[in-house]
Amino acid sequence: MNLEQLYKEHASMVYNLALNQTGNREDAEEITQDVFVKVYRSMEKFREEAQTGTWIYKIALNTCLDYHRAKKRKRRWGIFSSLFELDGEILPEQSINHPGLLLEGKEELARIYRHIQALPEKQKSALLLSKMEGKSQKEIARILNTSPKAVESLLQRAKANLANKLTQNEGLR
Amino acid sequence: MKKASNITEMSPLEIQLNALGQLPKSEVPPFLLTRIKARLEEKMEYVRPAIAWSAIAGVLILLAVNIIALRSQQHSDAEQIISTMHLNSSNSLYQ
Repeated sequence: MNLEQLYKEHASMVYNLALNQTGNREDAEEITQDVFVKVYRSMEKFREEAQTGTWIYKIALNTCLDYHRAKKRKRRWGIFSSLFELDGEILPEQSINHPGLLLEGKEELARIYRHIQALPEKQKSALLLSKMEGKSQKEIARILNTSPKAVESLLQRAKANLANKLTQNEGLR
Repeated sequence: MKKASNITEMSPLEIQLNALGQLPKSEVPPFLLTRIKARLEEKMEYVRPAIAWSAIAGVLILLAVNIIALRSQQHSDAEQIISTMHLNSSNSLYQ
C-alpha cells in the first residue's frame, strides 16, 4: 500500500480524530501531517497481519497526546502559571474552532467540550473515543493498550469528574 | 418505547455527551497531502541529530585513543633510549 492509498482511506478518520481531540482546526491539520509522515516512515516495520486502521489510529491518538503535552509545556513556560494548577486547564472559548461546535445552538456542547479537555489525559481520551468517535469499550481498550474493565473505570471517573467540574464552575442541573 | 424510556432515564450530561457524537464530520483540507509529501522530501535531506552526534562521538573517541597510544609510545621510546645508553632517568647525582 502506498502513501496516496493510505491517505485516501484514512485521512478523514485521522483528521476528525485530531479535530475531536484538540478542538482546533490548525492543530488537527498539523497532527494529520505528522501522522502520515510517521506512517510512511514506519510502513516497512508494520506487520500486515494487524489491522492497518487500528495501527494508524494508535499513531494518530499518540500524536494527539504528544502534541497536547508539548502545547501544555509551552504554555507553562510562556505565561504566568497559577499556583492552583489543575490536571488540565479549561480551554478558553476562542481556542476552540471545531466546525461542529461553532454551529449555532451548540454553545452548551462547546462548553462541555471545553471542560472535557481539562480532564486527565486518559479519561479525556477514553471519553472522546467513546462519545465522539463512537468506539466500543473493547475497541477503546485495544487502542489504549488496556483492558475493557479499565476503560469502563476510566469512563465512569471521567463522567464523574466532568459533572463535578461543570457544577463547580458554571452549574449544570 | 424502550428508547424513549432510556432517554428519560439518562442524565442531562449523558444526553449532551451523546450529542457530541452527532456532530457532523469535517472535510479534510485538500492541500494536506501536498504538504505531507513536501515534508517527506525535506526529511530525506535532513540528517537526524542522533546520527550526527554518534559520528562526532566516534571521531572524538578515535582521537582520544590515538592520543593515548601516541603518548604511551613516546614514553616507551624514552625508556628504551635511557636503558640502551645506560643513562640515569633521575636528576639526582648521588643515589
